[in-house]
Amino acid sequence: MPNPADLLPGDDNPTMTVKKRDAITQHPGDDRTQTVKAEQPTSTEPMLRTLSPRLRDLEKFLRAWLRAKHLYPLSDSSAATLEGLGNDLIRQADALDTERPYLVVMLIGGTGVGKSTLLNALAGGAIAHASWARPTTRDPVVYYHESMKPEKFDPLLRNCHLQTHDRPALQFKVIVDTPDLDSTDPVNREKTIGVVPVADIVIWVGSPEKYHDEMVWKHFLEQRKRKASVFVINKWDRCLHTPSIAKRPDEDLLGDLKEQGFQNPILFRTNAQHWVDKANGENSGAEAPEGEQFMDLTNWLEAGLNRLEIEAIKARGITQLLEQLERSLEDAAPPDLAETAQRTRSIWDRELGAEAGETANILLNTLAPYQNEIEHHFTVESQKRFRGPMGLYLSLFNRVKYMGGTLGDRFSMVPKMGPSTPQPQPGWNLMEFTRACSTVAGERSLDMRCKALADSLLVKGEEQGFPVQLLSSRTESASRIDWRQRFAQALIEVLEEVESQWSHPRGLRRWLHNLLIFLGNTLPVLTFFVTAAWVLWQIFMLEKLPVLTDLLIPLGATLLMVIVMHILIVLVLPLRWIKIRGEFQSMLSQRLQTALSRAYSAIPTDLADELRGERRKVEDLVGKVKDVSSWLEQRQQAATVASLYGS
Amino acid sequence: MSTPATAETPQAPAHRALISQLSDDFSWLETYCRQQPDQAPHSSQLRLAAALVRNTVGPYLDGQRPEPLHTCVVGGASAGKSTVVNLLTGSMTAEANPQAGFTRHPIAYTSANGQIDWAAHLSFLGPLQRLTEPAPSNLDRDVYQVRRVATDDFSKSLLANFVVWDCPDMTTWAASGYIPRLIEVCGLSDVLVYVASDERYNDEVPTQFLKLLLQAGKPVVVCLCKMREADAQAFLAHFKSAVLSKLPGGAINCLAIPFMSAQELANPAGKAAKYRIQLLNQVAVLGDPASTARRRSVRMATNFLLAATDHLLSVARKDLAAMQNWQTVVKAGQTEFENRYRAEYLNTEKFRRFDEALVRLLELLELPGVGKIVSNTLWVLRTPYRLLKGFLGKSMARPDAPTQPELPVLENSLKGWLDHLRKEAARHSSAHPVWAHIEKGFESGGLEQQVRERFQQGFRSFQLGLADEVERTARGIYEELEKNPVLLNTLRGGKFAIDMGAIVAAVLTAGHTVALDILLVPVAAAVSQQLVELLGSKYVDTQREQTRDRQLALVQQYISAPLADWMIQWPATGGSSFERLQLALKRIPPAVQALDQAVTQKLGSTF
Repeated sequence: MPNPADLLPGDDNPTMTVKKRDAITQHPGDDRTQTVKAEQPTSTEPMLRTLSPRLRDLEKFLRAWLRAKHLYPLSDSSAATLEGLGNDLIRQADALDTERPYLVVMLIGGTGVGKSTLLNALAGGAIAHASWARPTTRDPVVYYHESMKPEKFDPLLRNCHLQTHDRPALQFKVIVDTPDLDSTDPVNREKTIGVVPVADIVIWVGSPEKYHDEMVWKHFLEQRKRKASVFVINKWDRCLHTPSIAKRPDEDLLGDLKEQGFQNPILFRTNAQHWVDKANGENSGAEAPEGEQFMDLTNWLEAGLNRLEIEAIKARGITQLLEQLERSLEDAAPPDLAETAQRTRSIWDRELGAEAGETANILLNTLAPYQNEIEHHFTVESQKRFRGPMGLYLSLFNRVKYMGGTLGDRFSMVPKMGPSTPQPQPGWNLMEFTRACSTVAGERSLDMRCKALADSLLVKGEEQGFPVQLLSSRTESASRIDWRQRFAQALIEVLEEVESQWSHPRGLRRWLHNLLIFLGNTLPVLTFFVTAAWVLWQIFMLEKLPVLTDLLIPLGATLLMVIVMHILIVLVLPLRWIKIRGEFQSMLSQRLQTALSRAYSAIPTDLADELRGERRKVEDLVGKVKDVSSWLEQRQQAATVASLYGS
Repeated sequence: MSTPATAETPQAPAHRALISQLSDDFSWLETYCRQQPDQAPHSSQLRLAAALVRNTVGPYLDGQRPEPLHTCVVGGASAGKSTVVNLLTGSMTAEANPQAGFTRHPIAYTSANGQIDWAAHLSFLGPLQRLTEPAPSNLDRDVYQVRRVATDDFSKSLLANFVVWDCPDMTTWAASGYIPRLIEVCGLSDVLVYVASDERYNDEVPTQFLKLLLQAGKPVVVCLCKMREADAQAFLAHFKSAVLSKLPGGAINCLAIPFMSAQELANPAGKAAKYRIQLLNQVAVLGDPASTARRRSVRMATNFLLAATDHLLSVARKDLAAMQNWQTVVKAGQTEFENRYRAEYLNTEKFRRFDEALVRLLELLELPGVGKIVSNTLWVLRTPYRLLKGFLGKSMARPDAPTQPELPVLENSLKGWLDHLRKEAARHSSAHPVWAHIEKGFESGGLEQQVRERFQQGFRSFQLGLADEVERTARGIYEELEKNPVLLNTLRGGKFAIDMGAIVAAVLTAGHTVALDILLVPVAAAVSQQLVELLGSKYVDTQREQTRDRQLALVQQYISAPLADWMIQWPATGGSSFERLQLALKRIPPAVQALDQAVTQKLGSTF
């Protein structure tokens, strides 16, 4: 069976293909074409139609994804691209959802190159307005078979100028003539760009003057991956004299196309005016210029594009669309930051640990002026359980020892240094006290440190490759929490914990503590009674004359005992600020680190997780696109139309 | 024709400096714009400005003769430029090529033999080099070539006064590489011939180009080519109504040259002759007399520069706005830095030296010499007061909160400052190249390192400046008194008077009760002493507070302000483009003004 690709030009070099097409021209009813036409419909016809719902599904998923909220910002340009691709999907689905899809062949080019003349020549009559005035065509002209229903056309085509014909060879082919791309009227450009999405094949029409123009070339570069491309150099009569080293326009263009990956592009050299004149009977005697290929173009359109080719081009067009969709989706997919997030997190944890230490230090420094009060408080707390003379002695002793602190609060005659210092309440109000400390520390430096911490974390994240834009809003809102309140809370907790440790120690200290309390509570009393008994013994039993001093002996001994006990307590259970501070420091920094970690360290990993979720959605979508692509790939015969697409 | 140029004295070299600086600045801006995709349209205008400065205004101020004038033939690819050049020169020298966009560099046609002095001007055609050997027109380099043509009698009259330039096109996709060459020559031209074909006459790109040249005040002759002869008049009318009516400038001469075959074109006396005559006449009219034409070119060029400067510099302004944002961010960081230093260090630092100064001050206020006896008596009298005060002070004094040392505070604040800047840079990096540049500076590590080094330097000089600042202020408290005996003695007298007054008051109050005297007199002495001490300590505290302010000012002077200035300037240093940008922005407007003055002066002097 002959390969249908033989019917298409462009498999070999351009001159060869001209000959091949000549052969077709000479035998229009060639049985090769007949067999092709008769054999093909069975496999391809249902294929394209069943593709339609798949494309619709794909579009639905794509839209849903586009509408959903994105954590990872979707750039305006890629959102627009994806929207456009969604529209194209629906358009293709609509076009395929019919008995026999029609092929849209679009003539595109600069003003005055002869697009309309070409269409007129093809139609054999003046269906498109062609004139010397530039620009001529203002609205696209749609040339289609009378059996087709315009209301079935793509909406973009329905508003164009419609022209019917009755040529069976062009029955399922719609030829569209477009306004220009390069005149001073931007409306024309917009109109042309507006209908391009409908095209299956674009015939890029150039003239000897304009085949190289940038205004058209850049559109070609944009569309070449999406549409089948065919090239025409019209006004061929103007390129025949090549006096110098310069290249002939067609050779020049073929060279450029080769660089763009079109190894064997289909290029027709035409002189459309000649055929229009001929149809009008104006130049009946004249011959078409040498190498003119208008008839080849007509043949290609009529016979070369048979049902098989149409379906192959349709399928290829969809493949290209799906490929582009896949690429655009992959570009729009959020990056995989899982590893980066882990690294960022571990670095942040280190940073937060250091920060917690510093913060604890600063907080404790604000406590330092009140070390006497704290010592006092702790001493009182830990000595609460002493009773009797010991308890009395200790409370008196403490009152005298820490008198200054309370005095200072009542008569603040001493000029105070610094802007504001916390005002400790008379008595022990832990809440107020810690809040005041936290406020002072906040004003002095912690507020600024919190802000600086967020910046520093963001920079550390950036160094690890975590985009600042993603991290910043959460990190900064974490830095704006009421940290003063949290610091005060941590201080309270730590103070209470240290206090309970001192008043209810554990382990060996507990035994010591209890022992001391027991001794303190019993020994002085015992001493008193023993000495009192001894004195009484002396007086009554030994009948020693009682002296006043004798009466003082029990009291003196008790006092001595109490003092000895006190010294013992101070020696065995020393309670000094320096010692408490160390304990404070480590507990506080631990607690602060927990608080800071809770606020910050989950941010990068959470973000990475959410991004992974988003990424998975995109991957799902890409997977769906791939499914359709591979489904299509198994069924299409791409080779037949390869020359219409560059590589 | 008049030759006024020869009669003139050469201009001072100052003009040359002005010209080369201005054209350099424009050229630099042009390159700068070309690197930014969204600024590309500006680059053409900037190139034209540079070309006008160096090719039209410069030679004129240098006293170059007006002849020959230059006429440039411009138009879209294959519109018929070569045909028109051939008509102008009267020979078939320009290759008419079917390949669109074949010509890649400007080619001058002249009939003159011998030395070509018009090309001898120093900055003639800017970067374009003259080819010494003949070369094909498609040589794609920054060059131009001069071709000599043998002329018939007919075209001699034109070519005697004109050099005809065949230029590359501006429509093909390869043209973006050589449009600058085309514009360069257009800047030189005194008369432009704009060629458009039946296909091209309403095309966007050539029309925009024509518009630019009309804005620059170039006289233009339009040639419409290749239409059918029958359509010629309708063509001209349509071109005028559809294209010219939308462009600036007054009446423009248009003529139609219908499609002719190669044979017809080759015969100057044949069919082409009638179009040739029209064309030559119209070009010649615009260039007659040469001196007037040249003066008009110069005047128009300066007018264009004057009018367009603002617009041309708008590109650069966008970048400067980004620089200003950077400046704001740096300044905000500086304030934060200083606030942190004040709050974390200065406010908690006690400056103990001032307490010693207070003691010394009070000592100073005691009476010297014979007065010592009185002082000592009072001292004895105040013994209970001193003891009580000492006890109270000791028991009420609170331990100090440990202060943070100065350098770590400064270093921390600096780190905060830098982190903030870096974060902002990373956040804005996609918004503008300035930010991207800064972010790169941070990322490659250079910027942060440099800032830290500068900080170290600043800190050293700060320490030097500070070394005896506290000591000096503290000592100043009493030394000034020592140096000023009048004030010192007044104060001493005052203190003595207060002491005495208090004691006398006590004695009077007590009446004649000795017991009360014994009690009240020490109390009075104590009260007066306490009063003086309070006053003294208030004074010293004020000084202490001022010292804090002064120290902050020193940090500003030596550390934060120089750092901020340096960072603000950073994107504009090291020969980076922003420095050049600022320079260009600063220099161009006055240079254009100066140029205008010079031109006006010279134009006036030659009338």
